[in-house]
Amino acid sequence: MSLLHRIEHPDDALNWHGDMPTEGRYTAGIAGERFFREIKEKGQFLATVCLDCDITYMPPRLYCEECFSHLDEWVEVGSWGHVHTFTVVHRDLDNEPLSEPRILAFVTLDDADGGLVHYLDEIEPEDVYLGMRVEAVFRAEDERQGSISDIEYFRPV
Amino acid sequence: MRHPSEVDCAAATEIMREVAVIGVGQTAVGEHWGISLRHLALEAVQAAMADAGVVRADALYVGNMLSGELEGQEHLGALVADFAGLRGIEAFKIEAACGSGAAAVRMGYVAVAGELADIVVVVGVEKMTDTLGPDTTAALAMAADADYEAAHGASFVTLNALLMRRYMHQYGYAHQDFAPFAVNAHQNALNNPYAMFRFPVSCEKFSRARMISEPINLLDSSPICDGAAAVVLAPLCEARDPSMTTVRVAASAVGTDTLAVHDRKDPLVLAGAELSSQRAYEGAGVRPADIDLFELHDAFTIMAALSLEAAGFADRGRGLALALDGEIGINGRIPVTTMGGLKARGHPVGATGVYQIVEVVQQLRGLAGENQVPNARIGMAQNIGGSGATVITHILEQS
Repeated sequence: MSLLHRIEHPDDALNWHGDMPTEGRYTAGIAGERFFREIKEKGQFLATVCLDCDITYMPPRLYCEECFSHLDEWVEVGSWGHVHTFTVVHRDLDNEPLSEPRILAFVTLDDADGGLVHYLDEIEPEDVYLGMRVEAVFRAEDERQGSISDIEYFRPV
Repeated sequence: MRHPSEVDCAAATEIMREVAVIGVGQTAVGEHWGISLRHLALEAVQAAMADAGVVRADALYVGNMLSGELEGQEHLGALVADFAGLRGIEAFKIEAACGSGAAAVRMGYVAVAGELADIVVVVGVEKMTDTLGPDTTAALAMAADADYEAAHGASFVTLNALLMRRYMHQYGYAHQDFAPFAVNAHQNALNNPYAMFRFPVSCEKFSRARMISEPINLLDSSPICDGAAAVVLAPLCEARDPSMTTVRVAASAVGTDTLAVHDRKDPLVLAGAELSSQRAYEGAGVRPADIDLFELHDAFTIMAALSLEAAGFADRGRGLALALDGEIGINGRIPVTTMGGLKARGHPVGATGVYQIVEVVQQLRGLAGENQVPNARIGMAQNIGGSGATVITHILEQS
């Protein structure tokens, strides 16, 4: 059958059925990408620093929000801090009761000016208090995907 | 580099036209399974245009957040224009999360003030109940930071719960102290035929409500619902209906803040709302004490408290005290949510900001019925997108 021969019906052509694998790539931006890659590969946090304004950005930013200067000073920051505030979630997105309440906390980091909202675990809800010292628990290296979920949760120190 | 605020804009403001709201319309807020998105919008547009006494417009701006995600329908500008008999005019959808409605009003204001259009119809419309709860809640979470907040399941309920717990800790309040906001909203909704929840709530009922995400319970929260509201804007000089009080847009202002809550220096300060309010006061030449009623964004009770503080009605940590002192009722120092607010009128997200404007106009026209604020001359509406990342404030005044 030449290329010029017109195919009248799909069965006239040789065909295979199956799935064609495709891959997509998502990037969280230049600074975000470096931040997530560091978590994935080394299990630690990176921040950018504006020396003029004395601000350590975590999660990192490429520009200082105070003086607009480009930030190229990268530092490792500790993955520990304290509970600024927390909530105990009792319902799922469908308003059904969760089998076990989950704790979500806003953790401010000791070595940076920012913080993260993430799960808190290895503790009962009634034992959590504001100001409690916590540290990040990273997933096993082969389970990390390069996202915020590579942190499994924070736990009391 | 010259800072933008240093640029002299005085010359520009001199050529701006004064803008009036010449018509308002709304549908009942609720679960409208039998009515499509376009039909909801149409009902509100028709009501507003009939109220204004106009049959044509130069532009249509549609405030909406979730139509693409929940209804599989984008391109609402042309869609609504087509179905409202306005085919051919300029029409766009405006999106700023839960602030979409007021953002659309803002764009309408800009067009009329800037002499780019004479008559602008603005409609806010949202349908949230055609999808299952998890899908709707996940779609709403798209207004948070997708990489850092929403990725591991934080929703707006949990983000507000974090703020509420911190507020209670920092300023020494108990959960039941937030009750006045819900009680007041439900009380006012009783007399609003368009409100979703027309039943009273007591302090006891508030305290016993089902816990969702501590300390936020069901009665701290606004509902998922459907609705549409519309306004017609025109130059003030052409808006002299002798049978009706003329309502002027004294100020329209926007402020923004970090998208993610964790990036804020103090999460209990709504910096975007402070900026937005301040710009509105400057634009209108008024102070908080001049405001007769405040339609604030009570998506959760904690947001009502923080809004009162950011807008200058209470010092930091005292927004709740204002409510506890009974100052937020119809006859209080600063009446809020006078027709039920987000809590009880309902919170169809992209429509909410327009409902607020409609309700302020009702008050300034003296047509708020049982809920009329005595001698209401200046009213303020503030619509918030996300956890305070986009804040749009309008001040309306009798003219």
